[in-house]
Amino acid sequence: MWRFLLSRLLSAVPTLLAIVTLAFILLRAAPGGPFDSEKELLPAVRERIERSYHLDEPLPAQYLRYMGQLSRGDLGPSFQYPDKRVNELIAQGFPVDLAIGGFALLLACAIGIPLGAWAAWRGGGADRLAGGLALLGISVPVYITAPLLILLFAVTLQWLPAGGWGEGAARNLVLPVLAMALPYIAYVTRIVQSGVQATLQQPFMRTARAKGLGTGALLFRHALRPALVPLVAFLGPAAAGAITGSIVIESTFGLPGIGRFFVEGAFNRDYTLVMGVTILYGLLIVVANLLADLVNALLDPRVRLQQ
Amino acid sequence: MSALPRVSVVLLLVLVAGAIVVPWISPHDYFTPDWDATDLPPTFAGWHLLGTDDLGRDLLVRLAWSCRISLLVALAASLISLTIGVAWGAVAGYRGGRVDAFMMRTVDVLYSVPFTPLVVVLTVLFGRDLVLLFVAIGAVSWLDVARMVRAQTQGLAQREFVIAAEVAGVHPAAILWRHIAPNLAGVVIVWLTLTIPTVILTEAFLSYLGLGAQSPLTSLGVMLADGAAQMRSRPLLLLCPALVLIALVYCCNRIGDVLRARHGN
Amino acid sequence: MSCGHAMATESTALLCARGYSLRRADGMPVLQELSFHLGRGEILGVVGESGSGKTQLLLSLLGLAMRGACSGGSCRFDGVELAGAGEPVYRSQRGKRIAMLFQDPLLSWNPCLTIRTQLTEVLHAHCGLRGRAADARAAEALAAVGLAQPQRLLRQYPHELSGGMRQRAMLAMAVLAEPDLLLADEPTTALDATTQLAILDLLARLRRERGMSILLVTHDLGVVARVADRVMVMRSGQIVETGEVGTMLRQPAGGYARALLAAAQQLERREFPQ
Repeated sequence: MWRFLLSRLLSAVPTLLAIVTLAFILLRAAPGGPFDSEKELLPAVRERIERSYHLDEPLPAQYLRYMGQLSRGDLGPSFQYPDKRVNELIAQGFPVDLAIGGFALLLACAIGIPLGAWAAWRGGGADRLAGGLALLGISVPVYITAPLLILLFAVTLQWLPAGGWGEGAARNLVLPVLAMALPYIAYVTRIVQSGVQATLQQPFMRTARAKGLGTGALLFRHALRPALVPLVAFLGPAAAGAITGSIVIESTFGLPGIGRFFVEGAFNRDYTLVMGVTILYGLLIVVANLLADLVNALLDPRVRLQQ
Repeated sequence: MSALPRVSVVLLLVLVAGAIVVPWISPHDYFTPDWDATDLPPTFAGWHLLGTDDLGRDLLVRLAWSCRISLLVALAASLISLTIGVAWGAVAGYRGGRVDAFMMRTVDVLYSVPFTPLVVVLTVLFGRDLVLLFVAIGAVSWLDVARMVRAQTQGLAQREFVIAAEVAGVHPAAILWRHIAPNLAGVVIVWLTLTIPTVILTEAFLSYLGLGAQSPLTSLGVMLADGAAQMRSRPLLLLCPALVLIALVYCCNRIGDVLRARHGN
Repeated sequence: MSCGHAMATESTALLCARGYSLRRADGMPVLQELSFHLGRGEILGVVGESGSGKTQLLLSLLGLAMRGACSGGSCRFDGVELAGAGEPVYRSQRGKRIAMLFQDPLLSWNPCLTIRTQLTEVLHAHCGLRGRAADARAAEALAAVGLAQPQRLLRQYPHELSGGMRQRAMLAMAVLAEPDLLLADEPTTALDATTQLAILDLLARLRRERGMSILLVTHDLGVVARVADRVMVMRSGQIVETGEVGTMLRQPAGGYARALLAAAQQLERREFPQ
């Protein structure tokens, strides 16, 4: 168990290194630099600024310097927010995304798992209805649901605020969490539904029924568990994506998360900021996949933890 | 047993036909502002069947053009990722051994790269060009195909007809092209029907952020962003592109689901 | 001794079918006009080629036949009418009064649950036993079918057991709630020869010690000869012949039973490389 954890984490190191290097090359290959837009800068001033950020050094030297910083856990200074370090920016924004993404995923599981399981169990009309709704859910992107939710609940009904973080007040969280959760609810429902459908065909379900078990035991103890394996495999990467923030959710609801750093940082050639968020995402992916494998080993004892 | 979903097929055909035909027969184009006809509600006067936007441009024609762009980007990007993915997966699956290990390791690494942000970064960095947009989307979305094709090829490589060809001394490239590629068609078609809607959504997402189609050219994402900005006064500007996008994606997904069930995975 | 059981008459029978039939959802007949009876403590072998409806007969008695199938005629089990019964009736019999032993000892277990969970849930559902008491009973049952170290076994998952152990445990699970009737669907087909004999001996012991009635479906006449009192030959959903095992196997009356026997003997004479 511990050996498995250790070896998996170690094998993630080259992957992360490759991601960092790829991002570094990609960003530097792009035309333009972080201080291009400020045209009024005198050449001398600009040169001084670039020197203070070591942008005047040759690229390999910059790369080595960055990797050195990174090995100490320092993501470097931000170019766009001159007096902030990338670590600080992420530490400020990440809790916002963690809250919204986390609640959205919880909501998705709380609704999607029972709904999918129930639909597969009932079969017939319920099955088709849930399947159709779920298909609709994955066909409606966040950038449509978010404005529509604001239009309905904030503008027309005036029940909830249209945006803002409000220091994490529950009222402010409802709409963004809902907007983010809707497609995930649809995905979870679909995966659980097809999983339970497949399990219900298994011979062991016939055994369980022949034993005279009640519906609850049949569905939740026997049928649902094997069906959760593909769900967990989906939720791993999905969780990493959800809690690193959605650019659309953040911009539509005016939230101070880190999702916008990707876009803003890329626009402004804020190399360190983009790299920092990319690394965070890569780390989360590794951890989430590891957790998913662990949970699946618990769910299905035939799965051996390997590597 | 799983017949094609008739409603979805018809609706999709109607959308495609509309996208092609409407700009031909309408007296309006998608880019010329008409300052005498701004913010019109739907009307038969001047044939503004869905009304006009704040620049007086006909909404219906703009919708049709958006559909054209979305479908074009979706097809082009899918073909690009299809080409890369099939080639990569087939070679890895057929050669096996170290080549396979290296190629699939590369895919694993690229998988850990955040997909959407990477496309964002690519489009920001290399200019806001529509052609580049589908190259970017296509270049990032080939990973799934590569994995699927590799798995399928591994199975095929064990089959008698491939072994027979090997024994007969056929060149590996010829085996891949003549014996393996045709048997991948099923997987590929299923994948295509499920990827096209994803690409449509990605394109709309990028255009929504202002990274895709540039004014005056339009796309569903551009119209959605414009509509969202004016939704309090003119909800129609948001609802129309929203409905078209949802219908387009839903129909593709529905057809893809049925095809996937038919091919049994 | 087994003769006494075989003498059971229709009036005292535990299970008594009269013109019992089963139709698929599309109206195709699966079982046609079956009339047979099974006495208390009797073992009735059901033989026939595959597709003759033997398995469907067992499943339909528990209301587990294919979706939408409906049964007609009459089939009374200890005063309960099973033909055309609703789900609640079947539910009240399953596991508690009528248990089933399946053919495939691997696929019939839920791979994700321990042996303990799958055994004790039967006790919980039918005997109201939980926790320690249920564990003890489950361990007892495993020991009774000849499994060593039952406590350790309870903690294991089905895939960690060998095929023979799985089938023994499956038998232990089936009779946990002390049902009156055991429906055994090819219980030895997937096993090696030694384990086959062990399972058959266990079935015979269950009948002897608990007076359990067993409806034993098989295509193996050797199995029938070893444990059954009477045998019923089925072909395309109908009963072709019924009779005492001894007489039937020595001098089958009907042409079909004779053909079946001849085929079996022919197979036995041939040497198959293993």
